[in-house]
Amino acid sequence: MLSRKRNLKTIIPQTAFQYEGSFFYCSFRKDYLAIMNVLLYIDPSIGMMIAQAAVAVFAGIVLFYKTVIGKIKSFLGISKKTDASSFDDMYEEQDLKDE
Amino acid sequence: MLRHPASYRDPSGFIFKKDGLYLRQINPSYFEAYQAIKKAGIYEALWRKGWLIPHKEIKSSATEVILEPEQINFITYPYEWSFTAYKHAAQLTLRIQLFLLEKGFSLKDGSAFNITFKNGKAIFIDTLSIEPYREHEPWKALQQFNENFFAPLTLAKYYGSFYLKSLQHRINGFPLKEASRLLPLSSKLNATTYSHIHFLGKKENKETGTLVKDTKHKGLSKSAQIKMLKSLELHINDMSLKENTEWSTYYQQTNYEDAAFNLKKDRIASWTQEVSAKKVVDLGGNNGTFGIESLKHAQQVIVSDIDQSAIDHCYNQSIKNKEIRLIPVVTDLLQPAAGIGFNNEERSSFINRIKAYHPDLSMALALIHHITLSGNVPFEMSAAFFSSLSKYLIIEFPDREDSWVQFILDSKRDARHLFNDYNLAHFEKVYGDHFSILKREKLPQTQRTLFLMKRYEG
Repeated sequence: MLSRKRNLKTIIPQTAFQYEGSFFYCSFRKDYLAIMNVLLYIDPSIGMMIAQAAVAVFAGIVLFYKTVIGKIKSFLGISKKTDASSFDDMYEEQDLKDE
Repeated sequence: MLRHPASYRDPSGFIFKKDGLYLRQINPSYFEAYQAIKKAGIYEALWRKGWLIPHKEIKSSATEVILEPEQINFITYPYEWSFTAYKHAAQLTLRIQLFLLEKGFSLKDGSAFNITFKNGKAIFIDTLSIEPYREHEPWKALQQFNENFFAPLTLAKYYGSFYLKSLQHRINGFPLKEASRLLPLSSKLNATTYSHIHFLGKKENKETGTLVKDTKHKGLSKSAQIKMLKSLELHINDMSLKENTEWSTYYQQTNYEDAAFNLKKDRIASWTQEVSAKKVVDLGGNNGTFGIESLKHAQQVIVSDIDQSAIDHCYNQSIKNKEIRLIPVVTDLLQPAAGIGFNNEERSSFINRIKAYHPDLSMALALIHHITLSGNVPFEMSAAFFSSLSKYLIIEFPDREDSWVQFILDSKRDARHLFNDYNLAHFEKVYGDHFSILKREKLPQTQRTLFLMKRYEG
């Protein structure tokens, strides 16, 4: 792995490599050069990327809970009234359907 | 060719202005992705939903592709949105990402500046933000999304709408670590807030620069990412801001009768027609009650007000009434959004955008006593300011006997005498240096006078 890293250093500018080098090396070995430009302009942070797996586990539980609660509330006819418009109010119903 | 000062971050292409039109150049590094997106019919699908700014491809060569996007005559920035508008912009970003994932694509960034409002709807304007999805790749824009949308919304929910202006002084977003420190302990009890702000705030940059072996990093399945995004969108959809101000119910407690109220509405509509105003800016427009009157003859009205609640009401009502010609903007005229970003040009100032919009008519209804007496802005300066915006001005002047003016003057206590120049005669004299007064009408049973003025040219 280290020798591969050294090889990369010879063809990729030093600063660019140091900026996001390990990120490319880990996740996108095959096409790191092609996507380098696209990825460099934001810093996604590798720690943040890996942490998404944990966030997704939380989210799965939350989504299941909200779906069940939503169905129970709907069955009991309980709905929260609000003056605020919803996101879906902005667009025509037809537009919101999945293609 | 004049490159747009905000279009330099993404090497895939950039926006430039030519012959008065904003065009988008695509660079060769993005050709492959662009062709894949086109072939999959992603652009057309997003246009049908009204989620992405439509464009026409007007040139294609080996070195560049040029797109002509539908033009937007007034851009609003995240720090000028009300709470509901901010929420909708966040939801649009997540909905687009969810849609793209289903089709094998993904958003490569989650900036709030990718969204603006057109015809009353949130719309995604950064066409080049789409890229092919790579199997098991987590959403690399999540951190940026949380910093641009979720952290400001959550902070606003707990501490007030001031935090919706976060991007004005933090153009790249509100750092999660700092948001985590600011939020109350109770926010950790909410799974979504905990995971997206407190947990990810701890992980922020923690492992940047370290080599992580592939064997440890198995990525994130598409279905897991979809669940994460759906859960986040549900949470944002349920967020609310409990913040009422004196202005959000202003028109239920005005100091004048229905006759004056109706006459004022009538004059705004008829004077707008008389000067053939098509584009109007209503400064201090509260919830847009009078701005809507000018729409009887005008084509579009920008309603700006310092009060988030009033503008949020205006935004919600516009959506409910399908009024697509109103542009609600949260702006403090005594401290309007400045030019920010690289060279102070990346995001243009509110005043520069208003001037570039070229309104035919400005309205300042029941505003002058606030900027003169509360803001201490002399008539000379406010008159010069209004005359720099548009040819015509409708301005309402509450005289010293008006109860609101009395209230403000009383609050001056010993300094009250410093505002002796605040009177109708002095107002007319100073404004007369910049404008000719075309109409003057005293509102019945009030101490207020409505003026229609025309700027002296040359």
